[in-house]
Order: sequence, then C-alpha cells, then structure tokens
Amino acid sequence: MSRKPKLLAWIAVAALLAGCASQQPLRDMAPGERPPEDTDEAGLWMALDESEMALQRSPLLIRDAGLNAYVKKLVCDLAGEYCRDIRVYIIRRPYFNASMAPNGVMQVWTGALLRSENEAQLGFVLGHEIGHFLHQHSIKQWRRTKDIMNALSILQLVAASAGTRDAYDIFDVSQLVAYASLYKYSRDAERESDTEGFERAVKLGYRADQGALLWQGLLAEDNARDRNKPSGIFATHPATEERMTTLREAAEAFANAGSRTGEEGYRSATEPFFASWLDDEMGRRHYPQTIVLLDRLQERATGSHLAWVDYYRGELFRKRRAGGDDKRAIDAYRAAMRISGYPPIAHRDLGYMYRTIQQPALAASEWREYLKLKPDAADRATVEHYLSEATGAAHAN
Amino acid sequence: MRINERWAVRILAAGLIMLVSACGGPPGIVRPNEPTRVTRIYTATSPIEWARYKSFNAELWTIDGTALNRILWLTNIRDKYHVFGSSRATKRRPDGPFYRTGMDAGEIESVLRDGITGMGVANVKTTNLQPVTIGNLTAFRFDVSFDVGNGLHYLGNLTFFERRKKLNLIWYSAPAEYYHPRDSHAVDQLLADLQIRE
Repeated sequence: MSRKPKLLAWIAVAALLAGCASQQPLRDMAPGERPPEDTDEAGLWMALDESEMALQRSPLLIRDAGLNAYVKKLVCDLAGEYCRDIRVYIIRRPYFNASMAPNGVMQVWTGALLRSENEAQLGFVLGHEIGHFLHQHSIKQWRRTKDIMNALSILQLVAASAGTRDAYDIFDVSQLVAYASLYKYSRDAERESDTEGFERAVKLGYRADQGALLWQGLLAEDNARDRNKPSGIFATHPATEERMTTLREAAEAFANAGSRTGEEGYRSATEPFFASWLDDEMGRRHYPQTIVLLDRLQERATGSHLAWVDYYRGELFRKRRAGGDDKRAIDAYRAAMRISGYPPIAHRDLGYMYRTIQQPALAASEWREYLKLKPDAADRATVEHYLSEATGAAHAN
Repeated sequence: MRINERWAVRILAAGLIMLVSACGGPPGIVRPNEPTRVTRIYTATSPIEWARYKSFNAELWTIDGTALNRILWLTNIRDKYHVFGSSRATKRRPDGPFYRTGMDAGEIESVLRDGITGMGVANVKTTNLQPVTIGNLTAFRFDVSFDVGNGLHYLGNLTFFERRKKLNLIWYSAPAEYYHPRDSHAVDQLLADLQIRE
C-alpha cells in the first residue's frame, strides 16, 4: 500500500472508532433513583438485580450482624445522601478486592478487611468504590466496550471484503488501539475513584496518609510473588508505583487535614474473624506473599492477635519446608507461646514439627501439653496415637 | 520434538482416551452384601447398592447421582502430587495442596481441606481427626462439611492412609438434608468392613 492510501485508512479507522463512541448521556445520579425503564442501563440493572439475588444466597456471604453493621455505617458516612442506594455484601475470600456494581451492590472481600490496618484505610477502599458508583464508571465502560466491539466487527467485515494483507494489518492494529483505549479508560476511572475515595475519607477526618500506606503494603506483597504467575492477591485493582506515588503526594498536600485512624473500632469489629481470615490466607498457599502480610500484621498486632500471627508464621514454615524452615517454625511457635492467650494448637503443631525432624521426646512433651490445655480436643485420639508412637521411639533411643 | 517425546505424548493421549471412555461408559453395579474388589487395593462389602464408575487408580460410586451422594476412591497419589492426583508440584508452583510422603495426619488433613476448597466449594470445615484400622493398616478419618453455590450443605468423611509411600483416599459426601442421614450408616458399615488386599 502506498503512503497516501495508508494514511487515509488510518484516518478512517480512527474516525470509525471515535465516531461510534457512545454519545448517550449519563443520567443524573439523584439519590434513590433508578434508571428510566426504556434505557439500556435499566436492562443492565435488571440483570444485576438477578445476580444480587444469587449473591444473597451465596455460602460465601458473611452474615455476622455486627461486622455488616460496622462496614455499612462506614459506607454510609462516606456516601452521605447516597447511603440508601448502596447495599454492602461481605464475601469470604482471602484476596484483596472490593467492587461496586452500577445498581448499588458493593462487595467487600475478607482479604481486603484482613489487609486494612484500620478504619481509615478501609474507608479509603470503600470511598474508592463509592467513586466508581457516583461517576458511573461501570456503565460508561460497558457502553464503551459495546461500541468498540461493534466498530471492530464492522472493520473486520471491511478487512475481509478488501482481502488484502494491508487491510488485515489495519484491522489488527485497530484492534490493539481499541483494546488499549479500553484499558486506558479503566486506568483513568481508577485514578478518578482514588481521588474521590481520598477526598471523602479526608472529609470525615481520617488521616490523609492511610490510603498510600495501604497501597504500600499491597505493593510489597505483590512484589513478593513469582513474576511468572498472575497476581496472587489482587482480583482487580492492581497496585502500581504510580498509583501509590499519586496517593502519597495527595496525602502530603493534606497532611494536616485529619488525625483519625479508627484503629480501636476497626479492631473490635474484626476481632472475632482475625484467626479465621488468617487461616483462609494460609489456604491460598502463596507463602512468599503471606510472609510479607504476616510481617505487616505483626507490626500492629498486640495480645492474642500477635500470638495468632506467630502461630501462623510457624504453620507457614512447617508446611513450606524450605531450607532453614524447621528452625523458623520452632522459633515462631515458641514466640506465640510466650504471649498470654496463645492458641493451644501451637503445642500440637510444634509437636508435629518435632516429629518431622525426629525429636520424639520433644514432640511428646508438646503433645502432652496440648492435651492438658485442651482435654476435650476433637483430635485427641490422633494426638494420643502419635504420642504413643513417640514415647515408644523415645524409649528405643 | 524428539521422537521419544512424540511417543510419550501419543501414549499419554491414548491413556487419556481410555480413561475418558471408561468414565463415559455405562456404570457397573456394586451389589449389596457381596465382596467387591475396588481399584487394586480394597475388598469392600456394602450393605446397599451403588452405581460404580471405574478408571485407572480411581472409582466413583453413587446412588442417586454424584451431586446427591458419592464415594470417591483415589489410590496411589504420589509424592509431590496434588492431593487429588491431578498435577505435580513444580518450581514455579511449589506450595499448592501437594501431598508429600511422610506427612503427619494433621498436615494431610490440612492439605486435603485446601484441596477441597480449591474445588470451588465454600466454608470447608474438617474436624474429628481419628485413627482407624483398615485390615492391618492404621488409617485416619475426619469429618468434612462444606457448602455449594446452590445453597446445599454437604456432610461426609474422608479416610486416608499411606501405603508404599503413596496416599490413598476414600471420600464420602452427601447433602445434609435427607441423603446423608439416609446413607451414612451404610457407608460407616462399608468403611468398618473394608479390607486391604495385599
């Protein structure tokens, strides 16, 4: 293809993609209002309402009244007059994620609750989702995707009818341009929602640096993963240096805006779930990331939380069995046992650790302690079985 | 691809086709109170009738359909393989729910729990880990419960033991409503009478 027709073809592609971008205006987001029935948005809401009914039956839903009331109140404080438009669902999944559907369904995953250090950090995450809702990002993205796919299908027909190599090349390139424009829009929407979440959290008096601190922790976790694998903790919302820098700069500009972190309230609302969320996190079996998370949790944990963090660190090393992990596991279990209110299962699992490294006398001593502290343990018969095996081995030695 | 690799792929493909065709065929029947050879390891006598699907190293038994009651028999899971035998630990993925020879019973319980969670069910709970005797072998059994997306709550138990440095599993599960109460005693009796073939 000579230069001039090629240029014309490019202009045509650009014009086609730009021209078919949806001109449909977004509706005014008045509180309590649903989209008019004759719009495409109303159709989308109908489908989403059905999904919401399925979500309400989901076994993954955390139904604890106290935790739901706590998160819902925070959402209401952040959303103001839009409080009633948003329904919050807490989902038991150990990944960092929260999402917002255009019909007001907000999902908050337990992995996000475990990773937020306080109310201010969770407030930033929820405010971000409220930003998506108020700016109607999902509906914009949905329309944009539809339009671009329509345009691409027309271009594909044109390329097929031209039948030349140049035409196919133009189609391939325009596909890339189209997808890049979708991703760019998505990144822009994330930035806009970050700003919205930040402003809403700061307005409530929360410390401005908490959003950046949260992302800093998430970025460290993400960096610990094997780069050949997809991100282990982010279902969406990738942590990027750019994102963190932007948040840090915003925090510096509002350094004196507020001093609340809401640590006490957050701790008491999440306290009953801390150990089970850590257990779910261990179940992911992405140990390099979990080590980073445990380090971060250890910095702020006190009392029984600290004991659980040490216990799960012991579990992680016992299960991973990399070089030096045996000693690390023993040290971690011992650290847990120095804290008042530690879980008795630390003795049982330390016993198993000693069994693995063929120290039957030490294993037996830990199992005896476990059974003393938990005489009605459900696995008593199993522990007694190993105890008798270890006692025999210790005598033989 | 070298010629040996090509043959390896062909043999693997032929094996897969045989496995799929074995599963796709009509089920066999486990008749009540008749000693039945299960995989190459067990002799089982069930007080009730089951439909039976066999494949290499595995069997699946059901009465009303696998969503309503099933016993999964998995045998000879090798060191560093997924606890359900489907894939192997690799350098890139060393930390999944992989069985390792010599694991203690508590660790196998934990690996199995993570493996079951990985199947997409929710709220997997395991409890009551107990040693049990099958023939001359010490095995272990624990209770398992979980929920699925359609709202059904499942109960059951999982029996496991190591033999010749390989893991063997027998997993019974059925919905808590109607099916588990109806059949669990018969399954308990089946497990109590189970014999290992030498």
